Amino acid sequence: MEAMTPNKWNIPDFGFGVGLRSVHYDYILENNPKVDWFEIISETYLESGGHVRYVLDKVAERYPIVLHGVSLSIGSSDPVNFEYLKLLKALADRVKSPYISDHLCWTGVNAHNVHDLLPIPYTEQSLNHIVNKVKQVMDFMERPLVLENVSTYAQFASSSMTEWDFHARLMEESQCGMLMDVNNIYVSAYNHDFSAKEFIDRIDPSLVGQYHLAGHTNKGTHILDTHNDHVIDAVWELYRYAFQRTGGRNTLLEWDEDIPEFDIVHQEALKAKRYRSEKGEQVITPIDRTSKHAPKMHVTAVESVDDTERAVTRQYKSSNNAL
Amino acid sequence: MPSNIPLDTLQRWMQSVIEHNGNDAEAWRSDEAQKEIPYEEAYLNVLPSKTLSPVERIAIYRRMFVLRMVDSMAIDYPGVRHFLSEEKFKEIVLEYVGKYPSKSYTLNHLGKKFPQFIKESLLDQKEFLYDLAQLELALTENMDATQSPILTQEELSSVKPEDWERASLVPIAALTLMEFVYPVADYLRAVMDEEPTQNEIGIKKNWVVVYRKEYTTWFKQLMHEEYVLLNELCSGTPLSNAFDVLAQRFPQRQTELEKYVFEWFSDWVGRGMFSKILLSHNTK
Ligand SMILES: [Fe+2]
Repeated sequence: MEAMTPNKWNIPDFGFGVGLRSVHYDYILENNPKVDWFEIISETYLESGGHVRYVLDKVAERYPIVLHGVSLSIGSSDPVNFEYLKLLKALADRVKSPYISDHLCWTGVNAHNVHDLLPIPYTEQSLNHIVNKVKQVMDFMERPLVLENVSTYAQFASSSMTEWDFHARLMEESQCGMLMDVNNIYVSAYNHDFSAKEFIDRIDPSLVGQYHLAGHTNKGTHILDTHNDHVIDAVWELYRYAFQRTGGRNTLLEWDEDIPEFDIVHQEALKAKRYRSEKGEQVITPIDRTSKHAPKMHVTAVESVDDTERAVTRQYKSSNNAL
Repeated sequence: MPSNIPLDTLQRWMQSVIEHNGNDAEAWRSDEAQKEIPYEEAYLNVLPSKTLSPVERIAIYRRMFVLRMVDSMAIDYPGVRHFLSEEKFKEIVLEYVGKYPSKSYTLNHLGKKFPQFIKESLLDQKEFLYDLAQLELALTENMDATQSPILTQEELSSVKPEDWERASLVPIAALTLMEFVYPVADYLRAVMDEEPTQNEIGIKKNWVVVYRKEYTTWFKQLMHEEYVLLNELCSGTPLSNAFDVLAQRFPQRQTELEKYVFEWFSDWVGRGMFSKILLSHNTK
């Protein structure tokens, strides 16, 4: 099915992407899996001159890359951090990211970073403040900015509007777009007892620039956005519902904890194809079974010559637990 | 009343509750939190869900904060964590992030001040832990250091014999030389190899080079003499002068050292520790 509503910025629809994670580096470089595009956590690559930079440059030669940040902190009462934006812009230019994304949240105040995606009070004051910051960011970055709706676990009595009205008005007033994380809508709808479809209905489809899909953990009393499992059916159905309004948009699967081998993650991303077809008929893509690599995690002695020396590898941290 | 809470006030309140190193009740009632929003008002401003109270909802963020900080530091400091045990390590990390909260866009920088924090602490055997933390920080930082071009054997062979007198070497960016009072290289190696370790560590000087080859970070113990020579070379001392320094520092071992020097030198070049060779213009 072709795009029914073109996105406002003519962002190309690369197809079905996967988040680039260090446990899959070797596999990707050796096997060149047929992935449509990769999303990177921007902060991992901003200043590193080591292995991660080498890998990124190799991957960028072969695949489209989109930057996804976790520390823009657009909702913080702190001003825009232009030092950070300078690094971000250099990275976006280097890998030719056609647009950038981050989250509609705050991550700290008074220059602290608690490295979490914290909820905003949905007030007129917050809205004016964030509209202003978004404009500054887009001016500086010279490319579209799409902001992701986050999973939240708390709401404030001081809010004067719903999350979806806030997001819709932010987009109208600042000209940014939305990275619609369908799983996050599901998680927040469960945690705050609202209708996920009502959220989706309020968002102008032409302002949706990208989709996220992920797994979560249902604790009974609440759902945690853990990105540690397959996407549940109800979230796939929400994706179908949202997709019918927007048509083709870059769609990305996030898997950040208990990450399985690359094939499994990629295959989960490709499941999205069957929910993109209007009547829900299944579109099956064969699994790429060229290699099976066990993920490498944490500190390991990979090689030893004698008792005087050791090689060290470390897992690279994603900047946030729940993205 | 809650509808008038300004954004910055609410955020300073919530951050202080998340970062507070105590239980939920203490966090909500702390001076820092109540300076922003008094407890009763804050309690009314966080809405309960059908299943969770305001305190339980904010507790989700508090728990995730602790997990994130401890996990991140455990990746950077596996040796310190092993020595202290998991419980004590967690306690120390939470004290540490209270004193030095993250102000970076990335958790990769979170542990930068941990050696300094250990030095300022009242921990048992903190001198040993300080050395160990310094080694572990150097390893973490090495992984992100800039990749330099590597001096090749061919480049080295192209230097004319008469030019050696005025030649000096430039180390790669991803190389750090370290001198320790406690045997931290042995300790970290034992932790990595899952060998038994001791609880009381005595003084034993050791010298270590941390370097990166083909994007893999290594730490290697050096003989004291080897460390002295490599340190001279990495500081830009011309080759001939560096050998003189070595001979002066260890006069009684001169003959023996002459034999080693060549071995060391080719080993360092083979490990890609140098980036280039410079020839100074002031010829003798
Ligand atoms: Fe997401």
